[in-house]
Amino acid sequence: MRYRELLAVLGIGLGILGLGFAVWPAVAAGMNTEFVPVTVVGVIAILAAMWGYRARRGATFLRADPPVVEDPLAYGRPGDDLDATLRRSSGPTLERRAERREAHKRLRSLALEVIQVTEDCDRSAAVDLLEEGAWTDDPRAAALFASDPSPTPMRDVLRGLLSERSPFEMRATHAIAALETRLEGAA
Amino acid sequence: MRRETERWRGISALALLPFGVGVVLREPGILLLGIVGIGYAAYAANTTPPEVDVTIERDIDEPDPDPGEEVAVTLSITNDGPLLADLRIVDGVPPALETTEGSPRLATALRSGKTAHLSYTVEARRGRHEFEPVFLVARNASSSVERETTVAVDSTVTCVPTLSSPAKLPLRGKTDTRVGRLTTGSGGAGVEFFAVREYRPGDSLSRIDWRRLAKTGDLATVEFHEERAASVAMVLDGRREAYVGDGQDTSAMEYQVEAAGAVAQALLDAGDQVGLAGFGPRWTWVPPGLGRDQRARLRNELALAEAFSPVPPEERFLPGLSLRRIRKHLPASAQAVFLTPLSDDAVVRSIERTEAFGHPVTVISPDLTATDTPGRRLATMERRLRIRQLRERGIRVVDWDVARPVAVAVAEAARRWPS
Repeated sequence: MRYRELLAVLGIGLGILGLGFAVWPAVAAGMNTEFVPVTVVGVIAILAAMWGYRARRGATFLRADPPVVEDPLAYGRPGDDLDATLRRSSGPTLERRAERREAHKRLRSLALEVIQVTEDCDRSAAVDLLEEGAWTDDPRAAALFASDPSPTPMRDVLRGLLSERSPFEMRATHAIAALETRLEGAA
Repeated sequence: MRRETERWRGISALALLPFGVGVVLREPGILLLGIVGIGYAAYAANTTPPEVDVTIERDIDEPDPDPGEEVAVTLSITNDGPLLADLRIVDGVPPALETTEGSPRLATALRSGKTAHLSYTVEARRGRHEFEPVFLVARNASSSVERETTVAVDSTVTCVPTLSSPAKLPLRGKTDTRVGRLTTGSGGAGVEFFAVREYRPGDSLSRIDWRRLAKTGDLATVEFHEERAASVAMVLDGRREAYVGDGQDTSAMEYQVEAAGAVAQALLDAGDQVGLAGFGPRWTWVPPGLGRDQRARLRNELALAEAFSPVPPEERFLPGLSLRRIRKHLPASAQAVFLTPLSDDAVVRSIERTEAFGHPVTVISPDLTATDTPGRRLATMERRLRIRQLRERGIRVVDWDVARPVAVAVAEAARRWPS
């Protein structure tokens, strides 16, 4: 018999004994509980109960994790990855920064290509336009790629603070809209 | 796998607290309350983990359904061991199949020798779908211990769609030596007028220009554009990047398979040789061929090949290696029809390299882009620029709006191509 089982049997036995004393008090009439060791046992029991309660509070409940089998395979639409990056782009963590860098690289590459197509210019001219911010009238779109972005108007700063969207998301959204307008115009 | 759930952790506090308080306060009533806790503690500690000994059978009413057909699945679980007080069962539905009715899950108590059933319905989709092992969790009555296990029950649903209606794709000018439908720039046998030349002994009487003979008395022979057959490999983009969706649970792969089937049908009807390749980590190759057997083979491969599975690949992919493999297998005179959603720049480079190796390429690209979010609008622009880049290199591109039949998209695109 294992230790735990032995303890359980002992506990059940003592429990039945206690129940017997309660039902037939005459059996326990000769017993005296008016002494210190019994009180010490009581205090130890209370301390053990508190320890048990603490253990319960800190316990992690474990259970099987059955597979999800009902859902059909989900295929993202082209561009969903960028949307996800933009949504979580406000975080200061290294991972978020790396994602922002990747998204910026992708946007810049597209912007260069769009400018080359719409302006019929070479890559270095497109880079100049992009870095000068001269490729669009939208200051927020221009600020995404500009090497020396003009200071953001106070109204936009306040709007940004009130908005749930990060400055990067806002600039990227404006840049995409500006590129779209350019490409549509050239078609 | 056996696992202590920790569900009853700290239950001893329930027994010890009234006991301790009862003793200190000399209150027998409170002391007696501890018995309840002791009972629970004993219950939690002394129940043994269940032994899972079950026999499972899976019945599928139609193992070879048509696409979209409802397939009823019934799982029968017989308990060959002792009582299972709490048994949870999850059937291993193949990832590409959607449950449309019922549930592949069951929670039950199962007495020894008894059988429980669970039934559900899935919708058939193209491909070979192998069921995964059945997942079982058995817990003792107090749920203090559970045992997790899987039971493999081999079952497969195989769905082979018919090839789509033919879509006549005009091929580019590379042919082999067999007679076919592709008009060449040299004179010979055919139906389209090419030139009149001086009669040479041995020329067929049917090709003599009798009018000229009547008018001038000179013997001349009419020549037609020689028509030869082509050898074509349909190359489907099976990379993870190509598994983009249309917003309604259909991936680009389904559209590629549909288009490949439609174009292959038309090419085979015209007497061209058609083969099949997968551009992705899962390799598939069907050499170009003719006839009914080839048609059946293409249909089978398009439906069942691992390279064209509805489930995206997990394996690492090296485009250079895949391209070298395709080149090695492609006959020198073959041309390629590349099917891809053009979802990244890597595929554009691979198409350009195939063209540079001397195999004329035509691209059929299902358009799954949307414009309702910034990211999707960006992807739409990227795809447009990729198509533009390919066209600038002289590569024909069919930009297929998937809301319309592929045959219509091909016919519209072909109108813009030089004959």
